[in-house]
Amino acid sequence: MKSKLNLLFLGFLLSIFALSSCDKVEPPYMLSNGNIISGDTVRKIFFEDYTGHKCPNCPQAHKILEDLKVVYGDRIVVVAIHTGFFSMTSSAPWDYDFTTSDGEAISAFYGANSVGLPKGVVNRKKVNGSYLIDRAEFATAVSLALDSTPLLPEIYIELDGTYHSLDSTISVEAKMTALSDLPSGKYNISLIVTESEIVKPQKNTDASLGTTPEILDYHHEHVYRAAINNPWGEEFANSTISNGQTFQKSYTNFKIGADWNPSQLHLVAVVYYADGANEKQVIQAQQIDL
Amino acid sequence: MKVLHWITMMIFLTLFGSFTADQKSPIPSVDVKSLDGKIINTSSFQNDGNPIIISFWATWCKPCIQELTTISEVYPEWQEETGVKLIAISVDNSRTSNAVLPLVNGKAWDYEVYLDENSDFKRAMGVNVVPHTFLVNGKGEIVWQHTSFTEGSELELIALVRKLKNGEEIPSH
Amino acid sequence: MKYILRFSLLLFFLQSFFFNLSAQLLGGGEVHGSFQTDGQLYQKDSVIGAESIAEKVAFNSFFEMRYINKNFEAGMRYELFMPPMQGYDVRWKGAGFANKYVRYNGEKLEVTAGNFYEQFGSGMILRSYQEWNLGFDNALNGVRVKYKLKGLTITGLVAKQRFYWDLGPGTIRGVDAQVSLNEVIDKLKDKKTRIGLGGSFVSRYQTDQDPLYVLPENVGAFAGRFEIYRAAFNMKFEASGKINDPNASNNMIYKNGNAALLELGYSKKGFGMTLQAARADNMDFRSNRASSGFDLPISYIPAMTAQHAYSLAAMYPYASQANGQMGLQANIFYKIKKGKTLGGKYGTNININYALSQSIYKQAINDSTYIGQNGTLGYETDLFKIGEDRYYSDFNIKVQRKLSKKWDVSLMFMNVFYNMLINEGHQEADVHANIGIADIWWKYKPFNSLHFEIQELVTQQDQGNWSSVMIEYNRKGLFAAVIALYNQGISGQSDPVLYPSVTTGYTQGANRFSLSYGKQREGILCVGGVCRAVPAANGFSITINSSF
Repeated sequence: MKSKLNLLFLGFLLSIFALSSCDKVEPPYMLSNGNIISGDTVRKIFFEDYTGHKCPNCPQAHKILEDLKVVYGDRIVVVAIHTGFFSMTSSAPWDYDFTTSDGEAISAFYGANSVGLPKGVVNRKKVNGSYLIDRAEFATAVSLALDSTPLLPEIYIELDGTYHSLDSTISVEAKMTALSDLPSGKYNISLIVTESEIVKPQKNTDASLGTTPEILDYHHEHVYRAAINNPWGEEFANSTISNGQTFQKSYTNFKIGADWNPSQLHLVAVVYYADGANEKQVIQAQQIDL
Repeated sequence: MKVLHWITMMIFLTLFGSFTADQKSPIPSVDVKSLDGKIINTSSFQNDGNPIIISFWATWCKPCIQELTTISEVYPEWQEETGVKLIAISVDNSRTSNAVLPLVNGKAWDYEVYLDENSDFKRAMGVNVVPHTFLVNGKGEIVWQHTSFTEGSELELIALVRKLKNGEEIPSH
Repeated sequence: MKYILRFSLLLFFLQSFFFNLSAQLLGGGEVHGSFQTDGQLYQKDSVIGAESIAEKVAFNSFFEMRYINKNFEAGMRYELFMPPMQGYDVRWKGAGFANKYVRYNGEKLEVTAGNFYEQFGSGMILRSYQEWNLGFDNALNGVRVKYKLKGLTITGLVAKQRFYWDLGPGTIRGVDAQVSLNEVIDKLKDKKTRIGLGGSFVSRYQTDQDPLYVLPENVGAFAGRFEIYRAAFNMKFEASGKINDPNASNNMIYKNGNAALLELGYSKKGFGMTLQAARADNMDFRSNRASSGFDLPISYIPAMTAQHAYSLAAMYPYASQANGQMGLQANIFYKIKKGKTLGGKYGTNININYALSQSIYKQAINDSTYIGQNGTLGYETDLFKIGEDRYYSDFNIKVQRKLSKKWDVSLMFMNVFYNMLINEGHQEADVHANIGIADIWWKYKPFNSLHFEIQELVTQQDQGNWSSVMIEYNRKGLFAAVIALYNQGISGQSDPVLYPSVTTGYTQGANRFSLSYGKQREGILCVGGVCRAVPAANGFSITINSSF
């Protein structure tokens, strides 16, 4: 009896050791992946980057997104939504208000306006029970959304937009083509205007990314400016969708903000499930420059 | 609705109290560490058929220190009269456990003191807040327990120890 | 309503089940358990920043039961957060069986399946524990085997960690051995010198699906410890290391981590002292590399500072920096004998404590890499060089003397330095504060006492000066207290705020009930003989505690 117990216990210990090897990683520690897949009919993901100009760790999150663009190219469509405590304005140079009422409506839904930043939401899909993920989870979540799904999206979006300088308005035309059958349900399209190259101050803790504790001439990219057809978009189908079916939505006379730079504006289109088990989950995203 | 929830809990609590009131149980078997590094099993706690007081305490707990300091002043008399032994179990974790030995000596306490760093004994005895004091009879059965310390608690405690010493039954709560 | 019914029914069935089972089927055995519920009614108060909640009332409750029959033990804990009280993570919301286990507890072999808590040595590379009042629980869920021989205990475990109502993604494997040389080697049996040795190894497995980094899927950590006791002297040394573990808290650097702790003690009747020195470098170890904050820690690197019980002394507590800190602590306890000039009629107790924590020295690995840059080895360091930044220091002295049979007085002075950026994460002026406390007991007749506590905190930084006065009445199990906490504020920046509150309660045996009303700031509250942490709030709160 006694020796049996001994043996059992030794067996248990050995199995632990067998499983417990250490993985020593040798440099280079970072992958350099230049094999970008591109094309119009590839799956693209929608990444909401919840950020703030007074958020000291946010430049690190932006750096991760930049690195991911090296790997995935334009398959990641990013919008930076300024929200919460870290987006509050104060005396100059922190007097520029990046927040928007449309952005706040979406941020409040996830609770991103009341948590520590940076946070991200990938394709409006929960990861381990939560929409919001930390920056250390960005890369893995993006990889899961792009590498573990078919390359061909269920819906392909063709986006066309024009800026009319005479009256400072935008007109948009979005054409959705189903590339597979989709179940009965509500389908929405959301159209968003973002702006890049806004040079304003940003708090920073990472010396490898710029001066600390603040970068006075930080380049804010893909800043969420407004929703063209309301924060949660508009329904374009409420039925089953069959392969090859097309839908069209157009908007005109969208007035841009007085301080927006028309040459740095982007148009973002997001198609998502508006009800059912996959409610809010993004099917496909698309971005064009104006 | 919330109040209802609350009342239900209270009722069941009382029920439990009444069901378990008569139970006399031995000290659970868990390893604790003496102040000179010896591993001692709690089921081996004994006092030659005399009562034992087991007191859970921590260096950061003022009422605990107050209780043990108050008792230490009368402890020699208690021992002489009833043969009682006090075992003090420190629930300090590794942040504060280094202060246990100097504190015990610094205050000149004459108790048997053990460290319960992993809180195994604390859990086995159902201790949630300190101080929490147990009374063990000569047969090694837990017969009484009490939380918190207020002025005069030690007088009630010694009265119960005397009863135990005389072989009288004591109410479990 | 659904939960109330479910919970009540469940309790009822559990109870009948256990009693019948123990009485009839298994021939005896015992059932023990405990119960606690905390409830708070929230009222909005914009002055102190207290918020109301949609549900108006919040509850945190648990009910825990153990069944023991000879060598067999089983237990479970039901937890309910409907919704969690403010200050607790919102992810606690919900109810269910959080903790279930079965255990065989033999003379030599102990096997546990289900949830369990474990600590290797001081916890440097593995510690799982629960602090109900802080809303912390990183219980292990898996299998643990302990094998006990004379003077030797070997522990092995495989488990995942509890993550609120879920499990963390990483798998933890660990082994530990603890040896008492005096019991193993016959020659040393009767020697005065006692020697203890221990060693452990812990490994975490987590898959790598990161497209940017080459991540280690298995990360190992190891530790060794040594203790020696001889008469009044004792010494402890513990050291640990961890291989490359790029994670959220170290900004994805591949440097190895290490930590060490040395403790020297001398004590005899009436005098005791300890000296400690500790260092930690890149030792934050979790069962999810993407986690931070209170989520999923495996290692435990404690703050090497005193834990204060008085509310104002506990106002600026040090937050331990597992990824880089060097600290020293000295603790002296001395009792001036009764009859001496300074000793008085009953003797005087003196406790002096000093703690200091600094950053570790860091230097860039080469000219093109910044210190701590992600995807690199991070930095180079020197074990014996102290970093430039002061994180924390605390000097405090406590004097306690019983003046007569009726009067007992404690006085305390404390000087604290608190680095705002390190401890709270925002760039504000560091706090220098002086604190004075008088704690007086008047036992005016048997079983009756009045307790006065007067505290004053003086600082130019943060929220400025604080004062606190408490009067408490005790009679047998009954107590009632009035507390007035006052913040002077800083002129031109913040307004003065008063936090009044009243508390009353009753203890009978191991059952305790307390009720309070008023405003509370976040902190540790000690009244009626028990201490617990409380979040900032305004309104009624209630606590019930029971063990059986």
